[in-house]
Amino acid sequence: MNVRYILPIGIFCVIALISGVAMISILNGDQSRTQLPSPLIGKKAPELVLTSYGRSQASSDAALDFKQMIGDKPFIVNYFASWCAPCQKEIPFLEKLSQKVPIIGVAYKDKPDALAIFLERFGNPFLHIGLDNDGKTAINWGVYGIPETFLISDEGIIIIRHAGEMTHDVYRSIFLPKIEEMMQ
Amino acid sequence: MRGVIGVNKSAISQLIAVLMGVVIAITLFSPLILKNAFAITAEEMLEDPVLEKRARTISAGLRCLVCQNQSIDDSDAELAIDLRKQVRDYLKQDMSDEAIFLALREKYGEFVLLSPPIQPATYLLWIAPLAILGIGILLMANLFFAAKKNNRGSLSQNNKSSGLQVVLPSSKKKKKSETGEAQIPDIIKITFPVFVLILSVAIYLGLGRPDLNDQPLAERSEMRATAEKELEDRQNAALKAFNQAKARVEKNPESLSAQFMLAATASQIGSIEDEVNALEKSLLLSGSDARIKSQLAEALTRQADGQVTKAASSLISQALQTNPEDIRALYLRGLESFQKGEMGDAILAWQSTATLILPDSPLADTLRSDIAKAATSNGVDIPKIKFASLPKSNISDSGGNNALIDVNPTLFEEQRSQFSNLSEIEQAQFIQQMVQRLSDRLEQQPENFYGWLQLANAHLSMQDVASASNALNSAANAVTSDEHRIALIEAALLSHTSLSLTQLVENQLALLPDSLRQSNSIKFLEGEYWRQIGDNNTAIKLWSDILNEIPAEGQQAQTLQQLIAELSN
Repeated sequence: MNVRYILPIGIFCVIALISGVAMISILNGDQSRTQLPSPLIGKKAPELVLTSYGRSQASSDAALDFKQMIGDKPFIVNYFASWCAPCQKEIPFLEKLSQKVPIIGVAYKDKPDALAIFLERFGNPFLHIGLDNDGKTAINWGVYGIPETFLISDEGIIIIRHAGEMTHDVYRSIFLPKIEEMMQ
Repeated sequence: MRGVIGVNKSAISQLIAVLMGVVIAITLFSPLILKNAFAITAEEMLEDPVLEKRARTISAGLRCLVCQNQSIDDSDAELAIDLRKQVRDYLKQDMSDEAIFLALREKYGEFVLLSPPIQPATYLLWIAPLAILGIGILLMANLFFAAKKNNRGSLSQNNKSSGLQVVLPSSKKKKKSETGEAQIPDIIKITFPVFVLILSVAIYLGLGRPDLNDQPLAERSEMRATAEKELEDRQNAALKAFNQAKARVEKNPESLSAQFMLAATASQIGSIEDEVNALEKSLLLSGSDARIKSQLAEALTRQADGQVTKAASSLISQALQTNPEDIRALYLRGLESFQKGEMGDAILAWQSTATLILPDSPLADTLRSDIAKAATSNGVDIPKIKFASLPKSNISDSGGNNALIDVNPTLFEEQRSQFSNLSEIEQAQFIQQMVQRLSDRLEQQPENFYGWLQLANAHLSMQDVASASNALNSAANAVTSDEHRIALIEAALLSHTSLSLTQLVENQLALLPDSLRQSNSIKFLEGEYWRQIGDNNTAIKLWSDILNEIPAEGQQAQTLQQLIAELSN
């Protein structure tokens, strides 16, 4: 048979194969665009150098001492901002969650005044809030869009990074198994 | 003429091809052409032109993770601006280009590099464009040579032939044979669309609808499977508990707790008949306890699909006679009146139910909607509902995660305030009755640890420390686990001031395993023990130890600080 008629079919098959492979990898969720894999997982959490929000102004712009603040327990670091809608939406769930796991809030490029209104309106689930004024800390943590939520082990290792709104489903399917594993 | 038209035709198609090429080229290279419209602002730039040039080159190789298909050099996204600043900061620190790429790659992963590195996982990515180009060239060459061959063939034929009559049939013949050759075989004609159809169906089934892409079928079915499994596990667990309770009842059918347990587990697996049976037996064994009466009334009502039966009604009356504030019985009385059409009575009964429960308890919502329903069908305004208001306990504030706050006298205040509507004499009578029943029951089941604790609490609420102390000593004999031991220590510490209890606490603490004794909650209890026997220094030391280990801003820490401050004075 003439190559002219085999070629288009061949090309079609190749394209179908490639898109099939791509689709399967999307299906398996390993290359989802909204959930970029973080290379920081399994590594020591970078320092949180933040301006303290609220009462203890004295300790501004020094790295937070997780051990002293929380003790030998896993905890959560949540990057948020008063100007971000999903951040508002996730607050009620975070409030529930904070009864089980302490949460440190990092307000990304936020103003204290706006933050105060936000916390009053939507609630304050955070054990401590620090302001990341120039976004440098966020870059150090590989944050590419807020809200982002990190689970840190009692040894200060990043276990999970979740980009996007924190929901009960996300907590149950992704966070809870790891937390239970750590508690054992 | 034909020749001229032919030339024109090919000229037009060539022109179209060139135009299309230009359009494609513009589209492809527009980022380069439009480079002047870059996002970077003057204030971001570095003073040193060499460094600035390096910064631009590096930025062009870094992906903006927000827009994902642009470099940070082109993007106006907030993150891109920050990353550009970061790159310039790195440059100021004398970092090499490789080091900068590496540093950002460590934070954001491979994806931050706009051109992915050549490695096995990305071979396909790199080779695919080249392969497609190669295929394209082959295709073009094939077409080109075929056309050339064709031209030459027809040219030589034109030369040979002298008249139009000869050319036409021969060229017609040639064309026919050519199209015959070019004919796609029927099998492919038929199978190809079928193949496409099957492929698309397969992709559709695998992925679900395209707009559901972010929650693919596999994930969804997995979630459903986990949910189903959870439900099944729970049902299995409930069934197991039911069977265990049943076995226990068969072993000692005269045991009230066994029957009661059976009723509770039967309710969990939804077997109302078993529940009613077990509750009836429990009622007999308990010597017609009013609380069991109201429970039985509820079960009977559920058995009758929510209708309060005559048997249930008489049980409700009896239960209310003994305890006019039996929440369950009161609610059922309201339901009964509602079903009889006596809306005023229903509302009254439900309103008095409401005064006994907290506004956020599970029954509260039911009550609200029930009262509203009764009021509407009676054509009156929905009355105000007054719920019980108790001082909020510290437990719910702290999430109740350990026993630290359990040692809190306000708990007893709460329990007592539930009776505050009764007169003092009535309260005492009520408690006395309860205590009498409880101690009778415990004489038959001295192994019931929590029963003894309950008895001790009851005695304590009547300020009868001696009896409470006796009950706690009996509880000490019924201890079967560390959990029991801790509960006992807490109860004993709460009743304080008795020498025999101090001894009891000391003994029980000594019996706890070391690992538990190091825990904060036990340390707290131990501190309380030392405080009670007057050794304030040891108490302060133990509590300060805890303070060092818990978050400094929590409520627990504040409570502890207060306690320590009080002791220090």
